[in-house]
Amino acid sequence: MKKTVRRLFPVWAFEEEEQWLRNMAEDGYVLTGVGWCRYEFEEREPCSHDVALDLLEYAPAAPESVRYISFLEEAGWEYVGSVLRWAYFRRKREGEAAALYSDSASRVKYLTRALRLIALVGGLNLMIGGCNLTLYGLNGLAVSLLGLVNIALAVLCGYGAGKVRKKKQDLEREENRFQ
Amino acid sequence: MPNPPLTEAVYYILLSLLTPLHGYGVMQRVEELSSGRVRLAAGTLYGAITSLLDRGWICALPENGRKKEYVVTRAGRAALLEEHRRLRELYENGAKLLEDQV
Repeated sequence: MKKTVRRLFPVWAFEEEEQWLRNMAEDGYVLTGVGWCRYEFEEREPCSHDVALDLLEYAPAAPESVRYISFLEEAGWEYVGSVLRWAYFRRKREGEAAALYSDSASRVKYLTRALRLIALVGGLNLMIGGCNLTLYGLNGLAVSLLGLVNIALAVLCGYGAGKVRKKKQDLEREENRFQ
Repeated sequence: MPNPPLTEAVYYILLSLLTPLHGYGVMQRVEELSSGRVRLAAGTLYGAITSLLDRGWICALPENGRKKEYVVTRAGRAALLEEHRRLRELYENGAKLLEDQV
């Protein structure tokens, strides 16, 4: 049976999103397609699949990403699809649950890419919000209210980035504890 | 200047690439060599392979329709030998001092 769920995850909540997709797979709903705030699932055996989320360094169609995706496919992961640079993978479970990264150094790199994206989204909102607010005289109240929304989003991005940064620092500290 | 100590994953990847292997083969060989203790995830292995290629410690063999295979280069073998010597020193000193105490 197929099931489509519409759900919005903020840009910094990628780990919660991945956990949610894993929980869905554990309940027997395996991810088969993705779109903007849209997830498609198919009912299978509970716990039969692992799901993972990755942030590609390049656009999904770029040769570097194509190489990376086919490397993961050779290693048993299936590419479900992508939204912007977020790529979704699933894998038939054999024995223990599988993940895409197995050491702190590679997880730190992944979190660094995510932080860069959050900073970009936050920075753009701050800039657009600033412009909308300062152009109040020209554009009227509606635009400046929109500007306030942008600024609020930028503040939220800052909060999200702080959470991700903390996770990254904890991993780095753990890695360098005895160095 | 000597190389900094290699991570466990890099050491095992280089060891497993003394003979040509494709990515998935490396994952299996590393697990086998470490008796199942070191299990490399595919994303982590890809990052390690990319940086080893950049350093010139491994190279990709010309593709002939099959999966891409990699093998250790002369520089990679030298780094592996250097790390092996370092690990032997650690092991031997540990053995000397610890075994005296038992």
